[in-house]
Amino acid sequence: MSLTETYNDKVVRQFAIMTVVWGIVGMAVGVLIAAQLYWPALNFDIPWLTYSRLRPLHTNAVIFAFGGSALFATSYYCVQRTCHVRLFSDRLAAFTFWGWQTVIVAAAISLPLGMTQGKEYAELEWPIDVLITIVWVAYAVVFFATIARRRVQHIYVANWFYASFIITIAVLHVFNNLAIPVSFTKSYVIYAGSIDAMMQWWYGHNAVGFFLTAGFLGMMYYFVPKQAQRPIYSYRLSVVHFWALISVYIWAGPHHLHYTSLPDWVQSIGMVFSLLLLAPSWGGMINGIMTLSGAWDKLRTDPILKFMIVSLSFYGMSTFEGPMMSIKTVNALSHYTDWVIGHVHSGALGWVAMMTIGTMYYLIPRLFNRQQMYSVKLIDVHFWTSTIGVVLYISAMWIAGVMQGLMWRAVNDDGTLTYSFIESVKATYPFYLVRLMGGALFFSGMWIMAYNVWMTIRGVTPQAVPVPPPAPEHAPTPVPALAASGVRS
Amino acid sequence: MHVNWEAVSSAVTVVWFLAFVALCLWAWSGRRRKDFDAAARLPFDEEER
Repeated sequence: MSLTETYNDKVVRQFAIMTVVWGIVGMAVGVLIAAQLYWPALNFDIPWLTYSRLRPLHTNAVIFAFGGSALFATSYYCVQRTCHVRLFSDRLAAFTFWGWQTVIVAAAISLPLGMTQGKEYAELEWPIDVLITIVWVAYAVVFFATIARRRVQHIYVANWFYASFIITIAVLHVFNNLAIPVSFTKSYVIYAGSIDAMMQWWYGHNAVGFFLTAGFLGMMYYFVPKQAQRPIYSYRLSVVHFWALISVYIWAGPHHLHYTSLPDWVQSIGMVFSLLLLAPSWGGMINGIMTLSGAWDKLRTDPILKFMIVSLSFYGMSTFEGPMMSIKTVNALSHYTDWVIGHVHSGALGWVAMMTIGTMYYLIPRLFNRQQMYSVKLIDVHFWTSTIGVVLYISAMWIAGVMQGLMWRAVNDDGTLTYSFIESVKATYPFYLVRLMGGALFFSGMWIMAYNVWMTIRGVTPQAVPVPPPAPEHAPTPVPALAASGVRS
Repeated sequence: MHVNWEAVSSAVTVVWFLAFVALCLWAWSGRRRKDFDAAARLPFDEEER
């Protein structure tokens, strides 16, 4: 056994590779259901190929399998590097990997079979929910025990974001999924009526706010400075960003329930907090983009930075769009239309997927003792297919959504509806083709990535990286000094 | 017991606002500058391989 401590990069490698694999699987299902909206016959009259069963499979696969694996990989990498310590417990870390993969496979089997709780982004039935809880507690133990054993004084801001994501998801998952099982494959949630709706969207919106935002902001705060080779633009802004974002996000959920039986004042709270969110969101976006200030020329030559900066731009766009859509009068037009689908994908493809892809291009060569990816040119090709794909996707859905909203609210002089519902479906039809093309383009980029990754890691035997001692300025303050200088965290 | 919820709600708003102002003042205080500059360099405290 070596005397020098090394980083546990094995679990990071496993999650990083599965990020690419699940990205392809999840987006393949997305492309299929987009095609089904244009050619309904593509469900072949087979129950487990119907849109109703594959749509939750798509969302679960891209959010929890692709996004989740990326968050596990990057949080494990970041927390070790910024704490100068090996990850706590190799066994428990391995358990989180195999446990999470088991959850994903169980989802991929049970959802097409039609087993569902019927709660959006929380469709999985109770045995899988229990497994998720166990894996998540193990994840929290690994992450926080690593922080507790750190050899530096300060906990870097990225770890604060990852920590808030881990804690909040645990709370959201447990409370939204409280259910009474009636058999191994069927349960009923304990909430009823508008309370159920409020719990669901408290969970649902914070799945966006903490899983898809706080977690990926953790990724941003570590990997954007690393790739740009410059410290974050403003560390003090990052501190204010963190506390403001987590205290505001948790209240925004009711904006999913405007004009429903949810009490009016709760709807207003949801709207006000959603509007407030613009400030911390843009604070974070500006902090990330301005990290490049003085080094903008790097954007010309570095496709990984292009991924990251365009991702932050989409983050800025969708966090402007979101608060606008939460205003009740705007929501009256946008709600239940494809505008919402456009908004979600500008966040999911533009922000989450592009930040993940950029980060994986940084991470994967380093995990396999390589200087860089096999082909930088192919990263650039991937960047352009992704960007054009997202733009096609979201502009098609914007136009379709606003058109649907306008058609649904149009009334004749005598008060009757101008259009029947099917007329709005017919008008939407061509835009479903454009969306399919955009999605397929984005999906094709993932195959370019898979090829590039394969060529990078092929035949490499990864070597363990020793943990370097921290620089004196980061080392913990000795106890006497701590007493002398008053309160220091 | 009668609870004046409007007063409670106003008080909570004021308390959170003051907490936010305090957070900003703390983050931007001159005494924190050196520590924050060091913290921002944390990701670079390793040899690039």
